Amino acid sequence: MTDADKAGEVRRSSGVAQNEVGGRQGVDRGRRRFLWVTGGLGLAWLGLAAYPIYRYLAPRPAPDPFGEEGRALVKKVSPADVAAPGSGANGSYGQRGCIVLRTPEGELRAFDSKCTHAGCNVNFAGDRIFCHCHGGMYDFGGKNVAGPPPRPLTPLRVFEENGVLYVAPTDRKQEG
Amino acid sequence: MNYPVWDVPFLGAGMVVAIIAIIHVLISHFAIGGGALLFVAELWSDRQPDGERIREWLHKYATFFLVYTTVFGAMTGVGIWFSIQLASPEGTSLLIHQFVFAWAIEWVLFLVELTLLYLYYYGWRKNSRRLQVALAGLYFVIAWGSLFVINGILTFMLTPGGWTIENRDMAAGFFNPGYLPSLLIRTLVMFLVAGLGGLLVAARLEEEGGLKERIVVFCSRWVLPAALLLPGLSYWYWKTLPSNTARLMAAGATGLGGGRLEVMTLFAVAAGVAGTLLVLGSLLYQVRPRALGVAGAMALFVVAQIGFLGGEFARELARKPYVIYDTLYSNSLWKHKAAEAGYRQQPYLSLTRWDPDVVPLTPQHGEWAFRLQCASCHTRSGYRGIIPRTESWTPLSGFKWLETMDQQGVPPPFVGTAEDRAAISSYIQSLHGKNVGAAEILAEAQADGRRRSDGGETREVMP
Amino acid sequence: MTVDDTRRDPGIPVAAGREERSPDPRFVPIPPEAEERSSDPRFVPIPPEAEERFSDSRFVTIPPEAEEALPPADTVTGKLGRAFFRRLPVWPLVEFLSKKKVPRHRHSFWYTIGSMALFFLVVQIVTGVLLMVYYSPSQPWSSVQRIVMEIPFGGLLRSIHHWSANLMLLALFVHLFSTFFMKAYRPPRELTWLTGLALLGTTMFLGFSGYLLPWDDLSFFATRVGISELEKMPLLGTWIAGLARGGPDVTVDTIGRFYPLHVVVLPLLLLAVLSVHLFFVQVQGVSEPDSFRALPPEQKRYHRFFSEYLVNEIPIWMALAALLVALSALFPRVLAPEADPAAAAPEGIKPEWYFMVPFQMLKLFPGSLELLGMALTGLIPVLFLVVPFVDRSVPADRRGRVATRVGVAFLVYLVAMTVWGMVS
Repeated sequence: MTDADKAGEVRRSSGVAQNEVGGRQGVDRGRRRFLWVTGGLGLAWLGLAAYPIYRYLAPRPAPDPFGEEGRALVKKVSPADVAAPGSGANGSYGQRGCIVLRTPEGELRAFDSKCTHAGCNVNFAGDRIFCHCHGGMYDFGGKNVAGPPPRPLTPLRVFEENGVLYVAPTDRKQEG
Repeated sequence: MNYPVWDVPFLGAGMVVAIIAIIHVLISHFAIGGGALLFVAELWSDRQPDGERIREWLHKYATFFLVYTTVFGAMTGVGIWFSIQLASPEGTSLLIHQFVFAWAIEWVLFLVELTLLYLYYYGWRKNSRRLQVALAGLYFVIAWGSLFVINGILTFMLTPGGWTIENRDMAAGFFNPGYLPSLLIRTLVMFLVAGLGGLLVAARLEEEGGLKERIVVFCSRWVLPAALLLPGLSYWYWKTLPSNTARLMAAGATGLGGGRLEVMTLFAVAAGVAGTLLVLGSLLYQVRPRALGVAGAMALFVVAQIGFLGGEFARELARKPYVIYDTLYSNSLWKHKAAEAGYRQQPYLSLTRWDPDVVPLTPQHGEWAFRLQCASCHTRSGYRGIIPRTESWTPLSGFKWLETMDQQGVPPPFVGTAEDRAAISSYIQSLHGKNVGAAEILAEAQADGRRRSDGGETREVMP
Repeated sequence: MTVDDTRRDPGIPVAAGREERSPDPRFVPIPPEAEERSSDPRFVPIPPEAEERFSDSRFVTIPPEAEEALPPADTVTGKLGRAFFRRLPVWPLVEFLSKKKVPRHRHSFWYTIGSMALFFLVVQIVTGVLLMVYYSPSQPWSSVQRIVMEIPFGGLLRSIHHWSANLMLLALFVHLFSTFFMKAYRPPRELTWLTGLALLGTTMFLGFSGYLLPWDDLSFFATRVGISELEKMPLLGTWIAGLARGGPDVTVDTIGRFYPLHVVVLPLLLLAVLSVHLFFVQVQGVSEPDSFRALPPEQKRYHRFFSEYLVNEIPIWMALAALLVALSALFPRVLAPEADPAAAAPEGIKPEWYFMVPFQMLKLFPGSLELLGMALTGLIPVLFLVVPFVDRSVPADRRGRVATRVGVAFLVYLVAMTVWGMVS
C-alpha cells in the first residue's frame, strides 16, 4: 500500500468524525504530515531490524592465500619446469592461479594469473602471456602490452626452498 | 557465601528473580508513564468538545491502571525483594547498606505516589477539574522521582563508576556513567508503554462519533519520543558499558565460545526487534484507528513484554559473572577477598557462614560445594545447565579445569582446596550417571602431578 | 454527445442532436455548412466496424462502482488504478474481498490460529532460504556448524527456523482441534477439512525431512529409527524405506534425497494445497459456530475482513515474531556432535514431540504386537479423514455429540501420549 493510499484512507475514514466534531481541514493535513513522519520512522526502524539479515548475507572475507606464514606453496610448477631461460608455466597457490616464468635474462618471476581486464586466468603461451577471454597480452614483466587489460598483472615474490617453489606478496604490495 | 544457596531446580535462582523482575519492570514503567498519560489526557479532554466522554474512557484507563500497577506491581515488587535476598544475600545487603538514604527516599515517594493515585481515582467526578489535573500531574512527578532514585541503584550494579569497595562513595555510585542514558531510555519507554495501555483500554470502545479514532491516534502518538530517540540513546548507553562487555556484545553475533556467549547479543536483538514492531504497530493504528481490537492491543502488550525481556536480560547478562560489576561475584564471592593471598586456597565449606557439616570427599561434600559455589548461576540440567556444559569432562580434566576456570571464560575464580575440586568433579560425574569417588580423583590427580613433574612435560589443560 | 458518437452512428442527424440539447436563445444557431465542416470532408469517415475496433474491445469497461471507489481520475493512483482495471477484469474480485466479512463472537480467537500458522510458514520460507545460502548437502554438519559458529546471526536464524517449525506444527494441531470442536468440517466444507489434513501431513513430512539435514547424531539416529519403523510396515515397507534412504542405511545419500524434498518438493506441494485450502475458505466464507448461527440476524456482528480484521491480525504476527526471537535467545537450538554411524546412539534419544505418539505406541506394543501398535496409530488419520462424512447434520444430532466426545478422547489421548513420551 502506498502512503498516498494510507493518507486517502485516513481522510475517508476520519471524515465522519470530523464532520461531527466540526470538520477541520487543518487536523486532517496535520495528521497526514504526522503519518509521513511515523512512516519514515517505521521504515528506519525496520532497517534496524533487518540488520541481522544484512550481516548474515554480507560478503565473507576471502581467506588470505599466504596464510600465517606469509607465503604459499606453488602447486603444479616445479623448479625444473622453469629452469631454462624463457620457460614458464601456469600453476596455483592457495585457491588462486599464478604464472611462474624465467625471463630470457634468467630471472625467476611470478604473477597472479588473474587478468586485470575481466578476471579470466591468463595463460603462459611460450613467448608471452595471453588471455583467452578477450585477447589481452602481457610481456614477461607482467606489463599489459596489447588488448584490453588496463593494468599490469599483480607481481608475486617467488623463491625456491627445499626443491619446491613458494610465492609471497611483494614488498611493493605490502607498502601499498 | 552467606546463607545456604537457594536451590531452584531447572530454572535456577537467578531465573526466578528474572521472571518476577521482567513482569515487574513492564508494570513499573507503565505506572510512571501512565501517570503522564493521565495528566496529558486530562488537559487534552478539556480542549475537546466531547471531553466528558474522553474522561469516561480515561476513568476506565485509570481503573485498569490502578488494578494493574498496584496489585500486580506490588506483588511482583515484593516478590523481587523476597527472591533477590535468597538468590544473593550478600549483594542485597550491599545495596541496602550502601543506598540506605536512597531507599528511604524511594519508599516515601512510593507511599506518596499511592496516596495521590487513590485520591485521583476515587475523586473522579467529585474533585474539581483543576484538582484532578493537579493530582494527576503531581502523581507523575512523584512516580518519576521514584524512577530517578531506583535507576541510580540499578545502573550502579553494572557500571559502578567512581565507586569502589574502599571509598564507598555513594554519590559516585549513584550518578554513575550509565545513570543518565538509562534514565532517559526508561523515561521514553514508559511513555510508549503508557500509550499501549491506552490502546488496550480504547480497544473496547464502540466506534461512534470518531471518539475511538481520536483516542487511538492520541495514544499511539506516545510511541513517538521513543521511536525518535531510542536508537541514539541506546548507542550512548552501549558506550558506557564496560569495554569487555561491549566487546562481547559486538562480537556475539557469531557463536563465540561454542555459541554460548552470543546469548547476550541475541537478547539485545530481541529488544531491538520488539522496539521496531512497537513503532510499526502504533503506526498501523495511526493509519487504521478504527480497526483496533482487544486481541491486537494485547498482542502489542506482549511485544512490549518481550522487548523488556530482551532488554533487561541483555543488561543482566552484561554483568556476568558479577552481581556488582568488578566487586562482587554472582556466587557472593568478593573480588577483593579472592585477590588476597591464600584466601582461595582455604577449604571452601569452612568459609561459608552456614556450614552444612559434611565429611570431606563424600558425595555430600561435592553436592554442597556445587550448591554454594556454582548453583547461583548453573542449574543441573535446566537453564545454563551444568550437565550439557560438562559433556566432555573426565574426572581429571574437570578437576584441573576448576582450578583455572576464571581464565577459561565467564566463571569467577574457584575458591577451595584440591579436595573441594575433587569433590565437585566427582559430583558432576555422578550427574552424568558415572560413579567416580572424590578420593579416587584426588589420587589420580596426585599421580598425574608426579608424572608431569618427573617427565617435565607440560600438557594443555583440557577445557 | 461527442463527435465520436455521431461518427459511430451516422443515422443520427447532427443538427437534430444540437437542437435537442441547446435550444438556448442566447446562442446563435450554428449554420449547417459550419456543422458539416466539423465532420470534415477532407477526411474519410471511419467505418463503424473500424470504430468499434478502435474503441477497443481489448479493454474492459470499468464498472460504475469501481469508478466511484477508485481515487479521482486526475491523480496518479487514480490513473494507474483505472489503467489496471481496464486491462484486468478483476473488479468483481476486489468487490468480493472488500465485502468479505468475518463473524465476531467469543470464539473469534480460535479463528486466528490458522493465520498464525500461515505467519510461521512465511517465517519458515524466509529463514529457510537464508539458511540455504550457506548450507551444503555434501558437507551437511560442517556447513551447519559454520552457520552457527562463524556466520553473523546464523545461529539466530537457525534457532528461529527451529522454533518456527515447532510452533507452526503446534498451531496446526490447535487449528485442527478447534476446527474439529466447532464442527467446521460439516458440509459444505468437507474439502477444506481434507486439504487442511493434507497440509498437516505435508508439514509433518517437512519436519521429518528437515530434521536430518544438520547431520548431527540426534538427527541421524532419529531418522534411522523413523525409517526403520516405516520398514516394518507390511508389504511395501522395505521397498519404501529403501527408496527413502537410497540404500540399506541412512547415509549422506539420504540427505541427497531429503534435501530437495525439504526445500523444493514439499514446499511446492504445501503451497499448492494451501492455495486450494485458502481459496475454499475465501469462496465459502469462514464457518460460523452453531451458537453464532442460532442468533437472530440483528444480533450477529461482523468484522470487515479488509481492513478491520486484517489490521488486528498484524499485531498478533508481530507478537509471534518477537516471541520467535525471544525463544531463540532463551533456548537456542544447539548443534550436537557430528553423526557417527558407528557410534552408540546418544542417551535419551527421542523423536520430535509431533512424532511422539507413534514412538510411544511402538514402545507400548513390543515384539509381535508391534503391527497392532502401528495399525492403531494409522487409525488416527483415518478417523480424522472420515469424520466430515459421518457427522453431517446441523444442528448437532446424536452423531455430532459422539464426534465431540471422540474428539475429546482423542485430544486427551494424543496429549497424554506425547507428554508421557517426553518425560519417560
